[in-house]
Amino acid sequence: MTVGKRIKTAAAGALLASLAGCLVLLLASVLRSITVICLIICAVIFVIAFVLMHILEGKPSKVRIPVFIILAVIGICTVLSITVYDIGKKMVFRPNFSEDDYETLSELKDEAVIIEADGLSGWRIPASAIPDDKPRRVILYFGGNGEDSSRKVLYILEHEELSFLHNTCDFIFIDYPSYGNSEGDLSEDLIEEFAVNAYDMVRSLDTTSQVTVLSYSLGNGPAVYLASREDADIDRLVLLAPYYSGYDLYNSVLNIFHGPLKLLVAYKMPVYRFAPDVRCKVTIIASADDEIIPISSSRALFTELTGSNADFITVEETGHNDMFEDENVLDALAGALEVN
Amino acid sequence: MRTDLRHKLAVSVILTAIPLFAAIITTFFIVSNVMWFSLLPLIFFACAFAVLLILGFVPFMKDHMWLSVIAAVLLCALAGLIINLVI
Repeated sequence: MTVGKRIKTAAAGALLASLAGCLVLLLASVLRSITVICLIICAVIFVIAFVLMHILEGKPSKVRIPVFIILAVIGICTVLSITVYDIGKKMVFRPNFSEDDYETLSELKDEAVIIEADGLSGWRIPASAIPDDKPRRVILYFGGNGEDSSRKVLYILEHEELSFLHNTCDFIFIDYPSYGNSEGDLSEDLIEEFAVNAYDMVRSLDTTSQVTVLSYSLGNGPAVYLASREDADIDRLVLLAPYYSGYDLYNSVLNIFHGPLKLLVAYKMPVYRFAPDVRCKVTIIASADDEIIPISSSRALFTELTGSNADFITVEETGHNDMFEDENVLDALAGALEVN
Repeated sequence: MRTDLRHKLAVSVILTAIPLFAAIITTFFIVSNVMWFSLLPLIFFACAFAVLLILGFVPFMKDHMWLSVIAAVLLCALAGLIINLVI
Protein backbone atom coordinates (compact mmCIF):
# COMPACT_ATOMS: atom_id res chain seq x y z
CA MET A 1 0.00 0.00 0.00
CA THR A 2 1.46 3.36 -1.01
CA VAL A 3 1.73 6.31 1.36
CA GLY A 4 -0.95 8.21 -0.58
CA LYS A 5 -3.32 5.29 -0.34
CA ARG A 6 -2.64 4.93 3.39
CA ILE A 7 -3.51 8.60 3.93
CA LYS A 8 -6.71 8.21 1.87
CA THR A 9 -7.72 5.11 3.82
CA ALA A 10 -6.95 6.81 7.14
CA ALA A 11 -9.04 9.87 6.12
CA ALA A 12 -11.97 7.75 4.97
CA GLY A 13 -11.77 5.59 8.09
CA ALA A 14 -11.57 8.68 10.32
CA LEU A 15 -14.62 10.13 8.56
CA LEU A 16 -16.61 6.97 9.25
CA ALA A 17 -15.36 6.78 12.85
CA SER A 18 -16.25 10.42 13.49
CA LEU A 19 -19.69 9.86 11.99
CA ALA A 20 -20.23 6.82 14.18
CA GLY A 21 -19.30 8.74 17.34
CA CYS A 22 -21.49 11.74 16.52
CA LEU A 23 -24.44 9.64 15.36
CA VAL A 24 -24.45 7.63 18.60
CA LEU A 25 -24.38 10.92 20.49
CA LEU A 26 -27.18 12.49 18.43
CA LEU A 27 -29.40 9.39 18.33
CA ALA A 28 -29.53 9.43 22.11
CA SER A 29 -30.60 13.09 22.32
CA VAL A 30 -33.61 15.25 21.44
CA LEU A 31 -32.20 15.45 17.91
CA ARG A 32 -33.00 11.78 17.28
CA SER A 33 -35.79 12.48 14.77
CA ILE A 34 -33.68 14.73 12.53
CA THR A 35 -30.73 12.32 12.80
CA VAL A 36 -32.91 9.45 11.58
CA ILE A 37 -34.25 11.60 8.70
CA CYS A 38 -30.67 12.49 7.69
CA LEU A 39 -29.67 8.83 7.82
CA ILE A 40 -32.58 7.90 5.53
CA ILE A 41 -31.61 10.63 3.04
CA CYS A 42 -28.01 9.45 3.15
CA ALA A 43 -29.14 5.88 2.47
CA VAL A 44 -30.92 7.20 -0.64
CA ILE A 45 -27.74 9.07 -1.68
CA PHE A 46 -25.78 5.84 -1.17
CA VAL A 47 -28.12 3.88 -3.47
CA ILE A 48 -28.03 6.63 -6.13
CA ALA A 49 -24.21 6.76 -5.96
CA PHE A 50 -23.94 2.98 -6.23
CA VAL A 51 -26.32 2.83 -9.22
CA LEU A 52 -24.48 5.72 -10.92
CA MET A 53 -21.20 3.83 -10.44
CA HIS A 54 -22.66 0.98 -12.46
CA ILE A 55 -24.21 3.22 -15.13
CA LEU A 56 -21.04 5.27 -15.60
CA GLU A 57 -18.75 2.22 -15.63
CA GLY A 58 -16.26 2.55 -18.45
CA LYS A 59 -17.04 6.23 -19.02
CA PRO A 60 -14.07 8.66 -18.98
CA SER A 61 -13.11 10.47 -15.75
CA LYS A 62 -14.18 13.85 -17.17
CA VAL A 63 -17.76 12.51 -17.21
CA ARG A 64 -17.71 10.53 -13.95
CA ILE A 65 -16.04 13.07 -11.69
CA PRO A 66 -18.45 16.01 -12.40
CA VAL A 67 -21.44 13.69 -11.89
CA PHE A 68 -20.18 12.64 -8.48
CA ILE A 69 -19.32 16.21 -7.51
CA ILE A 70 -22.88 17.27 -8.43
CA LEU A 71 -24.29 14.34 -6.43
CA ALA A 72 -22.15 15.28 -3.41
CA VAL A 73 -23.23 18.96 -3.63
CA ILE A 74 -26.93 18.03 -3.95
CA GLY A 75 -26.53 15.63 -1.03
CA ILE A 76 -24.86 18.27 1.16
CA CYS A 77 -27.48 20.93 0.29
CA THR A 78 -30.41 18.57 0.94
CA VAL A 79 -29.16 17.21 4.24
CA LEU A 80 -28.00 20.63 5.47
CA SER A 81 -31.30 22.31 4.55
CA ILE A 82 -33.37 19.73 6.40
CA THR A 83 -31.02 19.84 9.39
CA VAL A 84 -31.08 23.65 9.68
CA TYR A 85 -34.89 23.76 9.24
CA ASP A 86 -35.51 21.18 11.95
CA ILE A 87 -32.88 22.41 14.41
CA GLY A 88 -34.15 25.98 13.99
CA LYS A 89 -37.57 24.86 15.14
CA LYS A 90 -36.06 23.06 18.12
CA MET A 91 -34.02 26.15 19.02
CA VAL A 92 -37.14 28.37 18.96
CA PHE A 93 -39.42 26.06 20.94
CA ARG A 94 -37.77 24.48 23.96
CA PRO A 95 -40.55 22.86 25.96
CA ASN A 96 -39.77 22.32 29.61
CA PHE A 97 -41.54 21.58 32.86
CA SER A 98 -40.16 22.35 36.34
CA GLU A 99 -41.82 19.58 38.31
CA ASP A 100 -40.24 20.64 41.61
CA ASP A 101 -41.56 24.18 41.23
CA TYR A 102 -44.97 22.79 40.26
CA GLU A 103 -45.04 20.75 43.49
CA THR A 104 -43.94 23.75 45.55
CA LEU A 105 -46.65 25.95 44.02
CA SER A 106 -49.28 23.26 44.56
CA GLU A 107 -48.58 23.41 48.30
CA LEU A 108 -49.00 27.21 48.45
CA LYS A 109 -52.79 26.94 47.77
CA ASP A 110 -53.98 30.58 48.08
CA GLU A 111 -51.01 32.38 46.59
CA ALA A 112 -51.24 30.65 43.21
CA VAL A 113 -54.01 28.59 41.64
CA ILE A 114 -53.95 26.28 38.65
CA ILE A 115 -55.89 27.44 35.59
CA GLU A 116 -56.85 24.78 33.02
CA ALA A 117 -59.04 24.45 29.91
CA ASP A 118 -58.97 22.58 26.59
CA GLY A 119 -55.64 20.87 27.23
CA LEU A 120 -53.93 24.10 28.29
CA SER A 121 -52.66 24.61 31.80
CA GLY A 122 -51.00 27.40 33.73
CA TRP A 123 -50.95 29.39 36.95
CA ARG A 124 -52.85 32.40 38.21
CA ILE A 125 -51.62 34.64 41.00
CA PRO A 126 -54.74 36.32 42.40
CA ALA A 127 -54.43 40.03 43.15
CA SER A 128 -53.36 40.27 46.80
CA ALA A 129 -55.02 43.66 47.47
CA ILE A 130 -58.44 42.84 46.00
CA PRO A 131 -61.10 40.58 47.58
CA ASP A 132 -61.49 37.27 45.75
CA ASP A 133 -64.96 37.96 44.32
CA LYS A 134 -64.30 41.53 43.09
CA PRO A 135 -63.52 42.32 39.46
CA ARG A 136 -59.91 43.13 38.68
CA ARG A 137 -57.52 43.68 35.80
CA VAL A 138 -55.63 40.61 34.58
CA ILE A 139 -52.07 40.61 33.28
CA LEU A 140 -51.87 37.81 30.71
CA TYR A 141 -48.22 36.87 30.29
CA PHE A 142 -46.68 35.27 27.20
CA GLY A 143 -43.27 33.96 28.18
CA GLY A 144 -39.97 33.31 26.48
CA ASN A 145 -39.04 30.03 24.83
CA GLY A 146 -37.26 28.68 27.90
CA GLU A 147 -39.92 29.63 30.44
CA ASP A 148 -42.61 27.46 31.96
CA SER A 149 -45.39 28.80 34.15
CA SER A 150 -44.43 26.94 37.35
CA ARG A 151 -40.90 28.31 37.50
CA LYS A 152 -41.89 31.83 36.47
CA VAL A 153 -44.81 32.12 38.88
CA LEU A 154 -42.76 30.76 41.79
CA TYR A 155 -39.97 33.21 40.89
CA ILE A 156 -42.44 36.11 40.93
CA LEU A 157 -43.86 35.05 44.30
CA GLU A 158 -40.40 34.70 45.80
CA HIS A 159 -39.23 38.16 44.70
CA GLU A 160 -40.72 41.13 46.50
CA GLU A 161 -39.58 43.53 43.77
CA LEU A 162 -41.95 41.74 41.34
CA SER A 163 -44.98 41.99 43.65
CA PHE A 164 -46.32 44.89 41.56
CA LEU A 165 -47.33 42.22 39.01
CA HIS A 166 -49.97 40.80 41.38
CA ASN A 167 -50.87 43.49 43.94
CA THR A 168 -53.82 45.10 42.23
CA CYS A 169 -54.29 42.71 39.31
CA ASP A 170 -54.20 38.98 38.64
CA PHE A 171 -51.14 37.60 36.94
CA ILE A 172 -51.81 34.67 34.61
CA PHE A 173 -49.22 32.61 32.77
CA ILE A 174 -50.57 29.75 30.65
CA ASP A 175 -48.00 27.33 29.29
CA TYR A 176 -47.58 27.01 25.54
CA PRO A 177 -48.66 23.62 24.16
CA SER A 178 -46.06 20.96 25.09
CA TYR A 179 -44.68 23.21 27.86
CA GLY A 180 -45.52 22.46 31.51
CA ASN A 181 -48.77 20.52 31.72
CA SER A 182 -50.18 21.94 28.47
CA GLU A 183 -50.82 19.44 25.70
CA GLY A 184 -50.45 19.71 21.94
CA ASP A 185 -47.85 20.62 19.35
CA LEU A 186 -46.17 23.93 18.58
CA SER A 187 -45.73 25.72 15.31
CA GLU A 188 -46.15 29.27 14.04
CA ASP A 189 -49.88 28.78 13.38
CA LEU A 190 -50.50 26.83 16.56
CA ILE A 191 -48.86 29.45 18.77
CA GLU A 192 -51.22 32.07 17.29
CA GLU A 193 -54.16 29.77 18.01
CA PHE A 194 -52.80 29.31 21.52
CA ALA A 195 -52.79 33.09 22.09
CA VAL A 196 -56.50 33.29 21.25
CA ASN A 197 -57.32 30.29 23.46
CA ALA A 198 -55.34 31.75 26.37
CA TYR A 199 -57.20 35.06 25.98
CA ASP A 200 -60.54 33.20 25.97
CA MET A 201 -59.54 31.38 29.16
CA VAL A 202 -58.79 34.70 30.87
CA ARG A 203 -61.99 36.30 29.61
CA SER A 204 -64.05 33.35 30.82
CA LEU A 205 -63.08 34.11 34.44
CA ASP A 206 -65.93 35.88 36.28
CA THR A 207 -63.60 38.37 37.96
CA THR A 208 -61.80 39.61 34.81
CA SER A 209 -62.57 43.26 34.12
CA GLN A 210 -59.71 44.24 31.80
CA VAL A 211 -56.93 42.31 30.10
CA THR A 212 -53.40 43.65 29.84
CA VAL A 213 -50.97 41.60 27.78
CA LEU A 214 -47.35 41.39 28.90
CA SER A 215 -44.94 39.47 26.71
CA TYR A 216 -41.27 38.64 26.71
CA SER A 217 -39.00 37.43 23.91
CA LEU A 218 -40.70 34.61 21.94
CA GLY A 219 -44.04 35.54 23.52
CA ASN A 220 -44.10 38.87 21.69
CA GLY A 221 -45.18 37.19 18.46
CA PRO A 222 -48.40 35.65 19.80
CA ALA A 223 -48.99 38.73 22.00
CA VAL A 224 -48.92 41.21 19.09
CA TYR A 225 -50.98 38.79 16.97
CA LEU A 226 -53.63 38.66 19.72
CA ALA A 227 -53.65 42.43 20.18
CA SER A 228 -54.09 42.91 16.42
CA ARG A 229 -57.31 40.89 16.35
CA GLU A 230 -60.52 42.88 16.30
CA ASP A 231 -62.29 40.45 18.62
CA ALA A 232 -59.67 40.82 21.38
CA ASP A 233 -60.42 43.57 23.90
CA ILE A 234 -57.02 44.43 25.35
CA ASP A 235 -56.44 47.63 27.30
CA ARG A 236 -52.66 47.75 26.91
CA LEU A 237 -49.77 45.79 25.53
CA VAL A 238 -46.31 45.74 27.12
CA LEU A 239 -43.58 44.13 25.02
CA LEU A 240 -40.27 43.16 26.61
CA ALA A 241 -37.49 42.62 24.05
CA PRO A 242 -39.80 42.21 21.04
CA TYR A 243 -38.68 41.15 17.57
CA TYR A 244 -39.65 42.37 14.10
CA SER A 245 -40.01 38.85 12.68
CA GLY A 246 -38.83 35.30 13.24
CA TYR A 247 -35.98 35.88 10.78
CA ASP A 248 -34.37 38.22 13.32
CA LEU A 249 -34.38 35.44 15.94
CA TYR A 250 -32.61 33.11 13.53
CA ASN A 251 -30.15 35.73 12.33
CA SER A 252 -29.16 36.56 15.90
CA VAL A 253 -27.85 32.98 16.21
CA LEU A 254 -26.42 32.61 12.70
CA ASN A 255 -26.62 35.59 10.36
CA ILE A 256 -27.23 33.70 7.11
CA PHE A 257 -31.01 33.75 6.75
CA HIS A 258 -31.32 36.25 3.92
CA GLY A 259 -32.56 35.85 0.33
CA PRO A 260 -33.31 32.23 -0.61
CA LEU A 261 -31.98 30.97 2.74
CA LYS A 262 -35.10 32.49 4.32
CA LEU A 263 -36.86 29.35 3.12
CA LEU A 264 -35.00 27.44 5.83
CA VAL A 265 -36.71 29.43 8.59
CA ALA A 266 -39.43 27.33 10.24
CA TYR A 267 -40.69 30.11 12.56
CA LYS A 268 -41.20 33.15 10.35
CA MET A 269 -43.68 34.94 12.67
CA PRO A 270 -44.19 38.23 10.80
CA VAL A 271 -44.89 40.38 13.88
CA TYR A 272 -44.46 43.52 11.73
CA ARG A 273 -47.55 42.52 9.73
CA PHE A 274 -49.76 42.37 12.84
CA ALA A 275 -48.36 45.56 14.39
CA PRO A 276 -50.28 48.15 12.28
CA ASP A 277 -53.58 46.56 13.38
CA VAL A 278 -52.88 47.01 17.10
CA ARG A 279 -55.15 49.73 18.50
CA CYS A 280 -54.45 49.66 22.25
CA LYS A 281 -51.66 51.51 24.04
CA VAL A 282 -48.29 49.81 23.53
CA THR A 283 -45.03 50.09 25.47
CA ILE A 284 -41.86 48.49 24.19
CA ILE A 285 -38.99 47.93 26.62
CA ALA A 286 -35.75 46.87 24.94
CA SER A 287 -32.13 46.69 25.97
CA ALA A 288 -29.32 48.21 23.93
CA ASP A 289 -27.19 45.26 25.10
CA ASP A 290 -29.62 42.45 24.30
CA GLU A 291 -27.49 39.67 22.81
CA ILE A 292 -30.44 37.58 21.53
CA ILE A 293 -32.83 40.13 20.06
CA PRO A 294 -30.98 43.18 18.76
CA ILE A 295 -32.52 46.51 19.72
CA SER A 296 -32.69 47.39 16.02
CA SER A 297 -35.27 44.62 15.59
CA SER A 298 -37.39 46.06 18.45
CA ARG A 299 -37.06 49.57 16.97
CA ALA A 300 -38.12 48.32 13.55
CA LEU A 301 -41.26 46.83 15.11
CA PHE A 302 -41.93 50.11 16.93
CA THR A 303 -42.08 51.95 13.58
CA GLU A 304 -44.77 49.52 12.41
CA LEU A 305 -47.09 50.32 15.34
CA THR A 306 -48.79 53.02 13.31
CA GLY A 307 -52.32 52.46 14.62
CA SER A 308 -51.60 52.80 18.31
CA ASN A 309 -50.17 55.14 20.90
CA ALA A 310 -46.76 53.53 21.37
CA ASP A 311 -43.80 54.27 23.65
CA PHE A 312 -40.28 52.94 23.34
CA ILE A 313 -38.14 52.62 26.45
CA THR A 314 -34.45 51.80 26.10
CA VAL A 315 -32.47 50.31 28.96
CA GLU A 316 -28.70 49.85 29.01
CA GLU A 317 -26.37 47.04 30.09
CA THR A 318 -29.09 44.43 30.47
CA GLY A 319 -28.73 41.03 28.84
CA HIS A 320 -31.68 39.24 27.29
CA ASN A 321 -32.04 36.77 30.15
CA ASP A 322 -31.60 39.40 32.87
CA MET A 323 -34.68 41.47 32.05
CA PHE A 324 -36.64 40.47 35.17
CA GLU A 325 -33.67 41.07 37.45
CA ASP A 326 -32.78 44.56 36.29
CA GLU A 327 -34.07 47.43 38.43
CA ASN A 328 -34.42 49.81 35.47
CA VAL A 329 -36.46 47.27 33.51
CA LEU A 330 -38.73 46.60 36.50
CA ASP A 331 -39.28 50.35 37.04
CA ALA A 332 -40.13 50.77 33.37
CA LEU A 333 -42.38 47.71 33.50
CA ALA A 334 -44.29 48.95 36.55
CA GLY A 335 -44.74 52.33 34.87
CA ALA A 336 -45.92 50.78 31.61
CA LEU A 337 -48.39 48.50 33.38
CA GLU A 338 -49.57 51.47 35.50
CA VAL A 339 -49.83 49.33 38.61
CA ASN A 340 -48.13 51.69 41.08
CA MET B 1 -14.70 -8.37 -9.82
CA ARG B 2 -14.68 -8.31 -6.00
CA THR B 3 -12.16 -5.44 -6.00
CA ASP B 4 -14.40 -3.56 -8.44
CA LEU B 5 -17.44 -4.00 -6.21
CA ARG B 6 -15.43 -3.00 -3.14
CA HIS B 7 -14.27 0.14 -4.94
CA LYS B 8 -17.85 1.09 -5.89
CA LEU B 9 -19.03 0.51 -2.34
CA ALA B 10 -16.18 2.60 -0.94
CA VAL B 11 -16.91 5.54 -3.27
CA SER B 12 -20.64 5.34 -2.47
CA VAL B 13 -19.94 5.27 1.27
CA ILE B 14 -17.66 8.32 1.04
CA LEU B 15 -20.23 10.19 -1.09
CA THR B 16 -22.83 9.41 1.57
CA ALA B 17 -20.59 10.24 4.49
CA ILE B 18 -19.64 13.72 3.25
CA PRO B 19 -23.14 15.31 3.45
CA LEU B 20 -23.83 13.51 6.70
CA PHE B 21 -20.60 14.85 8.17
CA ALA B 22 -21.46 18.37 6.98
CA ALA B 23 -24.90 18.10 8.58
CA ILE B 24 -23.43 16.85 11.85
CA ILE B 25 -20.87 19.66 12.02
CA THR B 26 -23.68 22.18 11.41
CA THR B 27 -25.85 20.55 14.07
CA PHE B 28 -23.13 20.66 16.69
CA PHE B 29 -22.18 24.21 15.74
CA ILE B 30 -25.76 25.53 16.03
CA VAL B 31 -26.95 23.53 19.01
CA SER B 32 -23.93 23.80 21.25
CA ASN B 33 -22.69 26.96 22.87
CA VAL B 34 -19.65 25.23 24.37
CA MET B 35 -16.63 25.51 22.09
CA TRP B 36 -15.14 22.03 22.62
CA PHE B 37 -18.53 20.39 22.14
CA SER B 38 -19.26 22.17 18.87
CA LEU B 39 -15.89 20.96 17.60
CA LEU B 40 -16.58 17.37 18.64
CA PRO B 41 -17.03 15.98 15.08
CA LEU B 42 -13.69 17.48 14.09
CA ILE B 43 -12.04 16.23 17.30
CA PHE B 44 -13.29 12.70 16.57
CA PHE B 45 -12.05 12.99 13.00
CA ALA B 46 -8.61 14.32 13.95
CA CYS B 47 -8.05 11.65 16.61
CA ALA B 48 -9.19 8.79 14.38
CA PHE B 49 -7.17 10.12 11.42
CA ALA B 50 -3.97 10.38 13.48
CA VAL B 51 -4.34 6.89 14.93
CA LEU B 52 -5.23 5.29 11.57
CA LEU B 53 -2.34 7.05 9.86
CA ILE B 54 0.13 5.76 12.46
CA LEU B 55 -1.35 2.24 12.26
CA GLY B 56 -0.95 2.43 8.48
CA PHE B 57 2.81 2.21 9.00
CA VAL B 58 2.74 -0.59 11.62
CA PRO B 59 3.68 -4.04 10.23
CA PHE B 60 0.69 -6.42 10.03
CA MET B 61 -1.80 -3.57 10.63
CA LYS B 62 -0.80 -1.82 7.40
CA ASP B 63 -2.02 -4.89 5.49
CA HIS B 64 -5.25 -5.11 7.50
CA MET B 65 -6.40 -1.48 7.55
CA TRP B 66 -10.05 -2.54 7.59
CA LEU B 67 -9.43 -3.93 11.10
CA SER B 68 -8.13 -0.53 12.25
CA VAL B 69 -11.09 1.26 10.64
CA ILE B 70 -13.63 -1.03 12.35
CA ALA B 71 -11.83 -0.53 15.68
CA ALA B 72 -11.82 3.27 15.19
CA VAL B 73 -15.54 3.27 14.33
CA LEU B 74 -16.39 1.23 17.43
CA LEU B 75 -14.17 3.36 19.70
CA CYS B 76 -15.70 6.62 18.44
CA ALA B 77 -19.21 5.19 18.88
CA LEU B 78 -18.28 4.22 22.44
CA ALA B 79 -16.87 7.70 23.06
CA GLY B 80 -20.12 9.23 21.75
CA LEU B 81 -22.13 7.03 24.09
CA ILE B 82 -19.96 7.93 27.09
CA ILE B 83 -20.14 11.67 26.33
CA ASN B 84 -23.92 11.38 26.05
CA LEU B 85 -24.11 9.69 29.45
CA VAL B 86 -21.77 12.22 31.09
CA ILE B 87 -23.31 15.50 29.81
